[in-house]
Amino acid sequence: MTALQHQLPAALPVRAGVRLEDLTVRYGDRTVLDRLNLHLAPGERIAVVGESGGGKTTLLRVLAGLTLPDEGRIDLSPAGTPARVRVMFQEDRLLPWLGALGNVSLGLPQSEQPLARAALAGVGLGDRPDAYPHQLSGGQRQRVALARALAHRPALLLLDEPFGALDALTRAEMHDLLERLLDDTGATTLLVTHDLDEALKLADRVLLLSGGRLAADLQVTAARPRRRAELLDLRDILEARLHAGAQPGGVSGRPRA
Amino acid sequence: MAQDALTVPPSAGRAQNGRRVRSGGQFWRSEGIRWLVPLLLLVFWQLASSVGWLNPRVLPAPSAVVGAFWELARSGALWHHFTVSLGRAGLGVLIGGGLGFALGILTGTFRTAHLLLDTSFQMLRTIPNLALIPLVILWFGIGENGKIFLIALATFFPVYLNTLHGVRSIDPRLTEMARVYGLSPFETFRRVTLPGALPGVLVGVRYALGISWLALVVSESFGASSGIGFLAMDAREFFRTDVIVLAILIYALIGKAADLSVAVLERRLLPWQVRA
Repeated sequence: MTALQHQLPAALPVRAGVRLEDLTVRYGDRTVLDRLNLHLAPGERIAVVGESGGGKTTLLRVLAGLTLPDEGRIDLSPAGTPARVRVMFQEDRLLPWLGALGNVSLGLPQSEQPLARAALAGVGLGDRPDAYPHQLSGGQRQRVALARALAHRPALLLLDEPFGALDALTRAEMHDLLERLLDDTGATTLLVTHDLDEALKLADRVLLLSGGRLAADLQVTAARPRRRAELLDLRDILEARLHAGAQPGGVSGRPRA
Repeated sequence: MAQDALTVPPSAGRAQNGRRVRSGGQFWRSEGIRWLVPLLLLVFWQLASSVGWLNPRVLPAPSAVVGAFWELARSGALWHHFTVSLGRAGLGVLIGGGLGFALGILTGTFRTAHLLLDTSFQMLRTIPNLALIPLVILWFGIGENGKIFLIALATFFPVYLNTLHGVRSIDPRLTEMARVYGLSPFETFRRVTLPGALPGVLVGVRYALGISWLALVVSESFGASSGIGFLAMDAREFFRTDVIVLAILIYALIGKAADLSVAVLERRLLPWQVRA
């Protein structure tokens, strides 16, 4: 049992389900998300891939409440309680004037402060609570950022290319860590990435966004932990669709069963 | 569970303060070199005065300055004038710096406040202090208030400008993060804006303390009956160049002390800043 799990109250936090209906976002006269319809089941792990400018990050920002949609609706279930949505960004966005523990406990209510220490231990930095961000390596800083997101026990966890700036070895290490922590917390997760291998390794479902529309929706059923070799067929399909999607009139979205 | 395998030993913290500690011998050697030239100048000055190359009416010997210091210190006059000056400068910095800080935060945080106020402040900033003296005498007379007003005015601008710049230079991505993590606007101000602006504020304070002595000299040069500036003006009447030089030295030493105290404050308040 990990330290994080150990500290959790008996009842696990609510996992959010998400339903998007005809979601449209425009920047000026450019349509970034074009009448997007999507359903995320509670506890599901989804990866969103696609070329740059395809609307991946905008989708994440809309779900985080940082960008307001021009049209359409977003329903977070269960309705009634404000869902805790937390984001782990591409950059660590740690406050330079706070130590690791101070950063992790940022915004946590007093009653949940012990979770911060547990989350920091959960990412393997329990022995460095006072280290300032500049005293940590890039990988360690991203771990602190991950601990900060998880300490809040989000109902919906949004990850915006969180490992893009890390070297290959550290990234692989972070994948294992994230997978284990997600197993513990069970949060509904949306991961935006440009790395197809990362998407296939971590997600239950991979969405391909192209031109603001859903160009593919793939289920990944392979058992975890997954090896890259097992995922090559799916990778080929995704790659083909990625290239097709870049063409005008590319492959249309395949509805999920 | 396997999580322990991921626990990083403390030595893995790469940039764990890369500063090299200077050995004691090295420290004293570099300090010695730093003071070599001023010391040589002092010796040369004393020598030139003793031999008679320097007219004491123009520049008194260092020994004469020390003598004047001893004479004034023993009578208690020096301490009196010193504390009066310190009080004026302190109160002026407190008022001017306090207002500068508050308004810098205000204009840095709220766009409307910036639009409303900043242009006026930038215009007022360009007026030289000396040009205001006739007006200040008319407004406040030659009492304490006018002097404190001049010091407050002079110290307002460096603190205002640097606070404003400090707030504006905060990475907007950090503020966005605070929003995502559920911090209220007040909490965001307390946890993000204020500490983020602090390095700028302290630069302003450092500059304000330096400039406060300048304003003090200006304000004590008219209608004063106490203070280090008065001491120098009074000494002029009696051709006491030794006292004048002493007053100048005191200004220099206090300026240096003020600068040092802010440097110490920076080290205490900003332990997170990477230092070269």
